[in-house]
Amino acid sequence: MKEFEYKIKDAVGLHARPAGLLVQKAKNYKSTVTIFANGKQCEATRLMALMAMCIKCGTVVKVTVDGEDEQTCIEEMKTFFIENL
Amino acid sequence: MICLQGKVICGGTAFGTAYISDRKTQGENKTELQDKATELKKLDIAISSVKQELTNSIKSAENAAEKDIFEVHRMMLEDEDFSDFLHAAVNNDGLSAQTAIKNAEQYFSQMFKDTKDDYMIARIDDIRDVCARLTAFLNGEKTSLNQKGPAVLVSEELLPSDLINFGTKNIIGIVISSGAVYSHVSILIRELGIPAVICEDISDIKSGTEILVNGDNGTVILEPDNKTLCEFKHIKSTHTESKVPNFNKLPCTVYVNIGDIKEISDELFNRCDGIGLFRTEYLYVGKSTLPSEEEQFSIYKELLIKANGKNVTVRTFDIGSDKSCEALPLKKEENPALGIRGLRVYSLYPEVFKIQIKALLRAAVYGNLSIMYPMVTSLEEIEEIHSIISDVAEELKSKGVPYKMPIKGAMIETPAAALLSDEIAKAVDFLSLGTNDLTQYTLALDREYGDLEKFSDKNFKAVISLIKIATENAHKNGIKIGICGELASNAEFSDTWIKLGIDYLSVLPSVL
Repeated sequence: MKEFEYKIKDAVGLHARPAGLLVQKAKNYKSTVTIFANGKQCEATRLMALMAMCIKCGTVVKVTVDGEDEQTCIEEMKTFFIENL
Repeated sequence: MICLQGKVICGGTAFGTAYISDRKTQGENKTELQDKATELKKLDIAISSVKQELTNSIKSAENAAEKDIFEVHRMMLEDEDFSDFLHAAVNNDGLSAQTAIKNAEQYFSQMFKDTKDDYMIARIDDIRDVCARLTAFLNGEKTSLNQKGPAVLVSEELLPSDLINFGTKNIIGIVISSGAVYSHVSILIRELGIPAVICEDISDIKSGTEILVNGDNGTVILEPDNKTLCEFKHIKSTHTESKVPNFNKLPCTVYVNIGDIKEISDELFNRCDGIGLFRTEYLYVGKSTLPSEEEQFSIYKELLIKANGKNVTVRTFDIGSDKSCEALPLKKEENPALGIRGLRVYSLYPEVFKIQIKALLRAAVYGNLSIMYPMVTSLEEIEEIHSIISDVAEELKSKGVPYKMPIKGAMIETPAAALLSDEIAKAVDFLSLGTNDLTQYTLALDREYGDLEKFSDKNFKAVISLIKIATENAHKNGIKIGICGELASNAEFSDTWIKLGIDYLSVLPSVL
């Protein structure tokens, strides 16, 4: 299992569109991607649950990746967060 | 004949039959509960059909905002939790497909409500939208007005996506019972130029009721008698006869606001005195590459040739805040409306600004061109821009490229610019009031949030005070001043502008 932390910079936070993009991205991997924030956790493939976590600008999220393609997955996830959030 | 009095969202008049869009009855189960397997099958067919409907809507979306809304809706529909909930409700609890959808709507709405976060709470409307589509499909109802022909849309409330779903071409008028005059959907209605009124009590209106919507005085007349109809037809015909109704009678110049060269036609130029605001953002937003000098030159040239000597005011690009451009990356900001936007972007990307100026100076040869800069807050900013423009002119001159210096103006859309308009007026040839931003910055009200409406000033007292200062300063320095914001299109204020001595109004083409 691999993990990284990221502080959200997008002004609106993890709102509907980037959450949707994250879900699409996370579905591309065999690994399970999990997001931890505000004392809650949620698989990155679940849109509504992700949105309900209410991740705002400035929130520090922990992203864990677990599975056979975790090396590629974590690299690409990092890039995704930097580019979109 | 019943006459209702309401608040105006958008001017103009319309007569037609009412089409009631009632969300309350949409959730009702209109079919008998069948066996589990049948209900499950119905549910799956509804989900895949609505998915297809949304995919079609995404493809035919006319702008990025529309597209975004439907993409989010499709993603919600594809969400595993959502679909698991629906299936479990039918499979485990033995509910009908319709009831399952109703329960899912309640469950996920509550989940968003529990976040106590304004943004997430606003997303409840999206869940309701998706569920309404599913229910409508199962009940065999059409969410689109297409088959019914033009009608007056009557609804308790309206969401921006409703307008798009119903097919805006089929809506000739709108009556809603709750909503805010400055909400997103109201702004969209005005963009589309659909006569619309907010009436608190719409219980007398039934589907098929003949209805007359008068957006000029805020009245809604049900089953109008012959006399009223004749008067209406008379107004309508005099409207079409005079080329510029209402605005044409004003003792000031009337220009139009344009956001894309495709919106322009010879017929439009016949109805106005020129273009008071040509937004150039469409050349940048949503594009992966920046517009080249040649591309811009040919657009501005075409615009000036079409104008045939009439004034064309081009606003240099206003990127930032809510308008982002992939090719001009800006840092994510906590408060983009107060961040790097408008002319502030030019100092980050001086070369990009120079390319636009070069194209404008070259095109200016073909007509009567004015240019203006967005988000001015000080004289120094204008001096900096003017020195760039002089450099560009020098360069063109040394290369022997034909060019002409356009008329130069400053946008007054910050309180700072209005307060300093005396010194700013000395540096430019005209001033243009951008009232949308001026209002937002003066009242410290984010115009995107309807909740703030109770804090807004319906009479625009503070904004008008600033406009007065700017108008006096413009005239003291012998230059012209106009309004290009949304307030210019609001006929209620026309008298105010004339009294203040505003020289021109630049309005939405739909109000002409």
